[in-house]
Amino acid sequence: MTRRITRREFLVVSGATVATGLAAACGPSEPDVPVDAAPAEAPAADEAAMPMGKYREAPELSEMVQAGLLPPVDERLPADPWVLPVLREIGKYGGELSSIVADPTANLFEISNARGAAAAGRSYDLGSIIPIAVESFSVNDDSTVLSVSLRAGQKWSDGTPFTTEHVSFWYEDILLNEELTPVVNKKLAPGGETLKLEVEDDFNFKLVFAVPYPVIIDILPSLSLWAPKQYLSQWHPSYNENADAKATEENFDAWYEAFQYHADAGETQQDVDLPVLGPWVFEKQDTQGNTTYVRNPYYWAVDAEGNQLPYVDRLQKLVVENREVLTAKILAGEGTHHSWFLSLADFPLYKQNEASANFTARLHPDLRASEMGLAFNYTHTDPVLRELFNDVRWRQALSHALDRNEINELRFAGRGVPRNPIMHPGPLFWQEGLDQMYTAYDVELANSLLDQAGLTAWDSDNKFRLRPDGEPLALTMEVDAGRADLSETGNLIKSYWAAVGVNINVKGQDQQFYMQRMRANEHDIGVWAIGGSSEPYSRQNEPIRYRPPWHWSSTPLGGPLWRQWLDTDGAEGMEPPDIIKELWETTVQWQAEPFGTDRYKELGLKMLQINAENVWLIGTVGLVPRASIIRNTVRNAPDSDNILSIEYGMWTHFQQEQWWIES
Amino acid sequence: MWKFLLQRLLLFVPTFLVISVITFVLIQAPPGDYINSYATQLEASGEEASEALLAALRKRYGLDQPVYVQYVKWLWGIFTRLDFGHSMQWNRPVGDLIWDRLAWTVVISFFTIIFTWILAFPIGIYSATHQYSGFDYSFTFLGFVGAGIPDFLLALVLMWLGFAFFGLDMGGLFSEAYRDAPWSWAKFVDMLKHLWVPVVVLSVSSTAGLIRTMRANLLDELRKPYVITARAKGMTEWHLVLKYPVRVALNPFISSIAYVLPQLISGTTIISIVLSLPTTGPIQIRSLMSQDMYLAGSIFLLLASLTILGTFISDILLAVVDPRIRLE
Repeated sequence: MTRRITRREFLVVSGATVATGLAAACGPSEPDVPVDAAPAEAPAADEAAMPMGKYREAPELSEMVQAGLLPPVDERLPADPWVLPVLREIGKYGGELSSIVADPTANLFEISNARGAAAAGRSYDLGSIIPIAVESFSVNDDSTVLSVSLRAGQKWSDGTPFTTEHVSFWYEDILLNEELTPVVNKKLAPGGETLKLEVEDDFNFKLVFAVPYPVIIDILPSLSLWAPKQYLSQWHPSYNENADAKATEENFDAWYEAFQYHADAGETQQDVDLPVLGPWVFEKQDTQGNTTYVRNPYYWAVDAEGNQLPYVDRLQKLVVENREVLTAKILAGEGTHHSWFLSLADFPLYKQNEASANFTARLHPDLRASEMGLAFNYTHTDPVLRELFNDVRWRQALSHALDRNEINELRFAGRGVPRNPIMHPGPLFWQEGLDQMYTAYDVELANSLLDQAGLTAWDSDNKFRLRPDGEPLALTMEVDAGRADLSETGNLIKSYWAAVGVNINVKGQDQQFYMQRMRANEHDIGVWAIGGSSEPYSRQNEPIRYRPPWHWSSTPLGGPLWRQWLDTDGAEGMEPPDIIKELWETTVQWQAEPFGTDRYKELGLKMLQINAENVWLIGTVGLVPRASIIRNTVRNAPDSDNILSIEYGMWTHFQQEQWWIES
Repeated sequence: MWKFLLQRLLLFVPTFLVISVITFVLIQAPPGDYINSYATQLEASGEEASEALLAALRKRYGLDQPVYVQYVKWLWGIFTRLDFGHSMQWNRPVGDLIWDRLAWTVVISFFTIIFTWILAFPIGIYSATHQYSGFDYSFTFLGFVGAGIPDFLLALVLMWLGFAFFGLDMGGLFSEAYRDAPWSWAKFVDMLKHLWVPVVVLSVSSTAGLIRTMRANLLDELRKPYVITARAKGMTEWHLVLKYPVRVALNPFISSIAYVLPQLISGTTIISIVLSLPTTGPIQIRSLMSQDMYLAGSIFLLLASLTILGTFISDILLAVVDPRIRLE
């Protein structure tokens, strides 16, 4: 099977949404011209005769062109630029998008998503993965080779043509350089072997994998397979023999520190001269972290009428020090759009201020499987507890003992869904009811299951159950002390479990200390907010919610020693029961199967079923919606039926380069 | 006098060293390091933080070396090139981050001390000279209320009042229009409009204390025989009070420079977070939480130096103002 998704095909296949969008975008004047072909048809020779050229640009850029500071827009754009379908209407140039962050070094997803230019991204309806910074990509039949074509004539923000030279630089001089990349990301090393690069010509290259690697398509949206060689090579010893001296001069201890400082294109970017491919370019950051980005004059995308994107002149990130000030500023109408730092509890407050601050507050579906989930430590050092935790009746009982509806009402204003953390409805292999198994609130059933599990003896006050060996049963639930929400829910759980005679003590703990204890297999119960359970996340990273230790290995919620055993093929750790081995095998096979095949669905469903039946990870309330605030003058922005979730990269697929500001 | 100054200056060095050692050790005392909190961030954004990667990063940042090696390297950088190290969290030299913020901390502290004095000085004198009068009781009452209100709560209330009744955007030191603007008279006025909130909030509790001290000291002095003698000789009351007893009672004001400075600086931390001020406070807390140790260490070191400096200045001033103080 060859999967080749080019932009044209995407436009053809992705159906009604895009088609109507394009029809509206084309307008009455040129109804018959296929939009993406339009730029290529006009003969290049006309340029001299038509000073305006084929494409239009922002007024500020026209001025720069007239002043001789920039080449004309037609020369800046590739011959066949990316035609980005606008969501509702063709926009006007100008204005600023801004948002506020309550922690200066945190990722402000509201604008950071708009700056990147990954090889691929998700379509507006999230249904497919489309090429973005490249012309096209395809995978061969056995998923061992990814072929990528770059757009001829596409340029970096400094005007340098974007070619495979930049891909080679990224591969040879960054990825394979042990000082810059001490450990190659597992995503780029399928089968434990770093992928190989084969460059064919200036615009075509291949990535070759040691083993079939269908997941490569799923992870493309998070990859940049290139770096601005024309700029960064001056700090690299392969290109500059004085790189170390240059680093010392700039007050760094080593060349790679200087290199990374200049290559940083993230939230802590400092170098204003770093060329990028994205729609906006870093302009400045003050010592408080307030940051601005300006339009990239070489951005290689246009709308259906040939206007170079982005429409909006600038992006701005404002920094405040706490959420109260952030809320006050939002209610005063500062910033154009917000979501990441909003709180569901404040939603009525947002609604009240809609008119005065001229914004609309919305609730969007989010995909978090459970706002809080817990796993017992299945490899506990105490054999009695270990045996108890591994009894499925114990886990079923404690799941039945939770009054999830009450948690939902008390903590989430009833907006969430009481459930166990088994994905969200909607992936290709979803089966109705999986998330509801063993979630009915039933104290009687919980008590009888606990009795069956051998916890029949009670203490002298008849208050709590005793362990099977007659000792008092007292477990400690440690939670990150920085997360008040987790300890509040934790205390509710304590009261529900006390009602069935299970005694736990909720203890706030420094996050790092707690993580250290989990890694050392010293905890009774692992507690975390359960995100990262969605289909795209489980594919792109690893199915962290569906196999031991039900989180990353550095924060093992349950059974760190099982995972150690599985990772080392039995050399270290503790041998897991057969069901875990079967689950592990299923997840490994699922990862190795191309997206969407029958076997993919079969394995995915099996993975969910084994988890749902065994309740290793007990959830509370999930699918709590995410609030957003968008100023009313912002156009082409998403509606409340659009998923807004970190699992899909928050705003990324809403393509902010096609947002515009109504004046 | 010069010998006294020299002694004081020489004491500065060991104090500074001891503080720097304690700071560095304390910052490293909690479990984990910056790499651990970085790993948590990585995982939150969907990247696996493998042990191998973390080990490599520790090596990169020199975190795998013993604490004393890290300490000596850091201190050596400070003494030889005024290089406070690299903030791992911000990816930039610590020096770039803190000078601005330190300046703001000093500015706010300075305005606060002045404001405190302007309030406490006359009120204290009035309360002492009009002991048990209606105003004395009122000021005492207000003073105790001021001392009793938690400052962060007062800050929140003032911020809310400003927002709800005057539509003022209270966070920060500048409104949106002036944030990026170069310095001008208008920008200065805009700053004053924002600055009064933290200044008032920070002054309230220390004002109450100073009023009480001033009142008590002055009351002691006013009962002394030299006051009665002067009065009997026909000196005008105000001239008398201001010239002798007040000068003596002034001592606590001057020595307060020493303790007001550290008090203000720790006070500004919470207030700065609540009011979103560009002082060292917020960055200090954040660097401690993420164990960005060179940043945290440098801030503590500089604040400690400021405190030592404050003590030094107040010692000198006391010696100048009060001839009774012996310089041995």
